[in-house]
Amino acid sequence: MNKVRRNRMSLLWFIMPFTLLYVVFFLYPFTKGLLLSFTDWNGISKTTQYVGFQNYLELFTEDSRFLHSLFVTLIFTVLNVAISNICALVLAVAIEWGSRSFRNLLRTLFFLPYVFSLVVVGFVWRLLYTEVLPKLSEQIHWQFFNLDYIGDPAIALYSTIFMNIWYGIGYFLIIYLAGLQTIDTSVLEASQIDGATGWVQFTKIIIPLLMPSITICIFTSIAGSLKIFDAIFVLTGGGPGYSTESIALNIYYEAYGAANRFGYGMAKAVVLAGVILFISYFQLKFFKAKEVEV
Amino acid sequence: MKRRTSGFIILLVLFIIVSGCGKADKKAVESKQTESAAPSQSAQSSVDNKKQEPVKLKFLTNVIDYPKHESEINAALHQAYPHITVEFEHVADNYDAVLKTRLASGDAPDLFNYPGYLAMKPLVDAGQVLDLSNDNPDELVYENFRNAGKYNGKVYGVPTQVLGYGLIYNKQAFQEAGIAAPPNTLTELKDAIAKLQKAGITPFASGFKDVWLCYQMFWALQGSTLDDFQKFYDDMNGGNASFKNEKLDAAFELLDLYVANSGDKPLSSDFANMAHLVGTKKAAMAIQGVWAYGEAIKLDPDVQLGMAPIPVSEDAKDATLLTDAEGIMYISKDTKHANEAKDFIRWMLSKEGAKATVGDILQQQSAASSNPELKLNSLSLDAAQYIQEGKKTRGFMINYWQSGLADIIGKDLQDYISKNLTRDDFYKHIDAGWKIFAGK
Amino acid sequence: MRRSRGIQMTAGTLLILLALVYLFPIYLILINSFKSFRDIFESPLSFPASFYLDNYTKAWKASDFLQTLLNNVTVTALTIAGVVVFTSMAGYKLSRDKSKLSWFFYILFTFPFLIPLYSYMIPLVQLVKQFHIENSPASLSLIYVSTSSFALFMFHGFVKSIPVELDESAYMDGCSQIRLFFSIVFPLLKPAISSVAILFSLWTWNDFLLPFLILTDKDAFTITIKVFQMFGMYGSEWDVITASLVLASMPIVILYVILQKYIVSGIAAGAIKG
Repeated sequence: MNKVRRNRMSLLWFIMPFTLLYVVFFLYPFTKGLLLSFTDWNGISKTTQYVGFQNYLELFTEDSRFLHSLFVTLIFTVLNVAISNICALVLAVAIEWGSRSFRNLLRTLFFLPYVFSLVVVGFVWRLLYTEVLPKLSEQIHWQFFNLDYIGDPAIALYSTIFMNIWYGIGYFLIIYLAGLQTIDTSVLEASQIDGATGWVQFTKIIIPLLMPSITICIFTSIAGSLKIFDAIFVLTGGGPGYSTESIALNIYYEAYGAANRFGYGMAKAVVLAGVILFISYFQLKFFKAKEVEV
Repeated sequence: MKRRTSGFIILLVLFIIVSGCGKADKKAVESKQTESAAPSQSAQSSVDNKKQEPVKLKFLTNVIDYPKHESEINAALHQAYPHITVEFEHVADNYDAVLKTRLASGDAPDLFNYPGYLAMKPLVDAGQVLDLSNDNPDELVYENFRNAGKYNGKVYGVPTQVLGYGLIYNKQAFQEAGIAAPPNTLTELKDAIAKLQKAGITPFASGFKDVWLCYQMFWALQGSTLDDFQKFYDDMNGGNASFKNEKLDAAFELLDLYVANSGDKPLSSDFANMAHLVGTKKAAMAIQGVWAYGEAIKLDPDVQLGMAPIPVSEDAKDATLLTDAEGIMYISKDTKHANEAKDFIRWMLSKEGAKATVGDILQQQSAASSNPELKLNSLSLDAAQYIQEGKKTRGFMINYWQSGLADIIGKDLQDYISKNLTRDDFYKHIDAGWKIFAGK
Repeated sequence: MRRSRGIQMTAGTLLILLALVYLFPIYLILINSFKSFRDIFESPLSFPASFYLDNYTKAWKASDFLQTLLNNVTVTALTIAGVVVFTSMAGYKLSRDKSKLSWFFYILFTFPFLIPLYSYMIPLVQLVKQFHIENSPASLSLIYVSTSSFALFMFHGFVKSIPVELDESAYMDGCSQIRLFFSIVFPLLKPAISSVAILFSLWTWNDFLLPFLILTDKDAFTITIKVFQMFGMYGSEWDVITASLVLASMPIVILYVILQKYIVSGIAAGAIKG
C-alpha cells in the first residue's frame, strides 16, 4: 500500500513540470475553446450568449464552405500522403540499392528543403509559379510550364500539394533509408537465389520489413496534412475564391477573418479535432495489426 | 528527495518568471511612463513644458509606405513633439482579421486605421475605440470629409487622406494605340480595347490574386451605379433589399471585359504585378486607386500615368471617379497614451504633419483643413483636378458594407472571375453574407 | 545487395542530376537575390550579370537581422532546454511506471500531437495576454514545451531500451529518484536527446502560426514572422524579398550542413524509436 502510494507520488513529481505547462497552455485553453463553441462569442463584443448546439448544426447543414474545406483537406491529405510516401520510398530504395556510395550526398540534397521554413518555401514557389515557369515556357515552348498554377481554381490546390510534397520528401526519405539499412541483405540475396525479381522483392520482402517506418511516416504525414495551414496560407491564402481553403484556413478565417465568429470557429475546430482523433485512432489500430502480422 | 523536487518547482517557476522578464522590463518602464506622464499632464496647465518622458505609440496601418518611411516621419514628428515616437506596423492581407484579433486579445495598438462611416459600427458598438468628440477633431478636417469619422453623432475617427479611385491608364500606351481620350462609355472602352490589342498591348492588368483588389473592383462597380449609399445600407439591414439591381448588373460588363482582356492568368497577378504591368506599358489600364502610383513607377520612373472616371454604362454621364476620405485614424480605448495619441492625430493633420506624411511620402491629397503644401503624384493630380472641376464623384462603397463583408465579396468575386460562380449566385452569396454580418 | 560499380555510378549520377533539378527552386532564389528588381522582372531565369549586393543591405536593414536572429536563437534554445528536461523526465517515468494512472497520463499527453494549434489558439492567445507574457521568447518556448508530445513519445520509447536493473538497484539504495534520473538515466538518453534537440530546433526555428499570433512587437519577431511581414510590406518586390529569404534561411542551412550527420541520425532514430 505504502509502496503504491510512493510510486504514485514519484510519478506525479516526474510528470509535474510538463503537466503544469500542459494544463496551463493546452488543456485549459482547449477546454475553454470547447465551451466557447457553444456560444456566439465574436471576440470583441462584451456579451456572449449560450446557443447550445446551434453552431454545430449550422456547420453541417448550412455551411457549404466548411464542407468544401473538408473536401479540400481530404484531397490534400490523400494525395500528399500517398505521393510523398511513394516517392520517398522509391527514392530510398533507388539510393540504397542503386548508388550507396552517394547515399550521404543524395540524402543531404533531398532533405535540404525541409530545413527551410514553410513561409520561405511558400514565397519561393510563388516566385516560381508566377514569374519563372511562365518565362521558362516562353523560352522552351513547353506549354505545361505556362499553366495558371495558382490562379486557376482547378489547378491551385494541386500546386500547393506539389509544393508541400517537394518540401517534405526529405524527411520521409531519411526515415525510409534508415529503415532499409536495418534490413538484412542476406534475406534479399537468398530470395534472389530463389529467383525472385526486383518487383517481387520490393513488394514481398522490403515493404513488409519496412512496415514500422511506413507506419510512422504515414502517421506523421496524415497528422500533418489534416492540419495543413502554413503552406496554403502563404502560397494562395486559400484562393482563388475558396478553391484551396483547407479546414485550418476555414477556421482561421471564420475566427480571425471577416466574420469574427469565434464561437462558431471553435465549433469547427472541435469537429476537426474529433475527425483527426478518429482517423488517427483507426490508423494506428490498422497499422499495428499489420505490423503484428509481419 | 523533497529538496530536489522543490528545487524543480523553483526551476519551473523561474522559467515562468523569466518568460515574463522580457515583457516585465518594458512593463516597468511603461508604467513609470504613465505614472510620470499623468502628473505632468495635470501639471502642464500650471507648469509649462515640463520635460516629458518619451512615449512610443504603436500604429497599425494599412498604408504600406508609412513603415518604410518611419524614420523620416519620426524626424518630422519630433520637431513638434520630441517625446512622441510612432512605430508603424503594416499588414497587407487580412487587415481586418489582424486588427480584430489584436482587439479581441486585449493587445490593441494605440492607433490604427480602419474604414470610416458605417464600417466602424462593430468597433464602436464593442466599445473598442475612444470617443474624440470632446477634442474638437472636426476643425482639423476639411469640411466635406468630416462625416467619415462620425458615427451616431459622435466623432471616433479622423481621416488623413483624400483618395481617388478610377481608371488608371498608361498615356504612352494610349498614344501608341491611337486612343485620343480615356473611354467614358462601355462602347468607347471596347473600341479602346480593340485598338490596344491591335497595337500589341494587353488592355488591362488584373491584380485579382489579391482579395482586397477584388472587393475594391466590386466597390467600383457598385459605387458607380448607386446614388444613395445610406439608403442601400438601411434597405439591406431592413432585410428586403439585394445587391442586385439592373444598373449594377449592366456594369458587370465592365468586369467581364476587364477579365477577358487582362492576359490569360488574371487570378495569378497581384497588386504589385498589376502596377508593374501598367507602369512598364505591358498593360495599358487598371482600375485602381491613386495609391498604386508608387508601385507603378518603380520599374520606369518616367512613365506617364493618368486617372480617368470609370465607364460603367453607355451613358458618359454615369462614368464617375470615386473619391473619399481615407487613412482614418482611431485611438484604441485600451491605449495607455491617449493624450499622446491625440497629439499625434493633431500633428498628422497639422500643416507640417500632413506635408511630412500624406504630402511628401504618399504624394496624395490631404483631408486636413490646415491647407498643407502638397506635391501630388500624377494620379492624385488628375483626381484633384477632377474634383476641382466640380465633376461628379462618389464615395467608397466599403464604408457602407457590413464590416467584414468585404473579404467575402472579394473571394466570391474571384469565384465569379474564374467562372465557378454565376452572377446571380454571386449576388445570393453576398446577400446572405450581409445577413450574417448584420446578425440576422 | 551488391551492384556492379558501373551501375552504381550511372544510377548515382542520374540521382544526383535529379537532386539538382529538385533543388532548382533554391538555386532560383539564390541567383535572383543578386539581381536588380528590373532584372528579376525581365529575366528571372538568367544568371546575374554582376553580383548586385544592394538587395542584401536593404534586406539586412529592413529585417533588423541581428536582433531577429537573436530572438530566434533565444526561443530555440529555451524550447530545447525545456523540452529535453521536462519531457525526458515525464517520458521516463511514464514508460517505467506501468500503472493505470501512468497510462492515463500518457494518453492525455498524446493529444497536443494530434490537435492542431488553431483549434485552441483564440483562448490561448488571450491567456498569454492575461499573463502579460506576449512578445517574450520564453513564453513562446513554454507553449512549445506544453505541446511537445512528440518528444515525450520518443523518450517514452527510448527508455524501454535501457535496462530496468540500472535504475531499479539504485532505487533500492534509497537514492532520490530525480537525482537518480539525472545522474544515471539522463546521460543514457543521449541519442534520444540529440534527436529531440535537432527536430525541435528545426520546428521551432521555422514555426509560423504561433509566433504570428503571439509576437506583436517588431523587436520580438522571429525570422519567419519578419519574412512574412516583409512580404506584406514589399509585395512583389522580389529583389528585397529574395535577399531576405536567403538571409532568413542562411543560419539554419549552415547549421544543417555542419550538423547534417546528427540531423539525419536524429530523425531516423526518432522515427524508429518513436
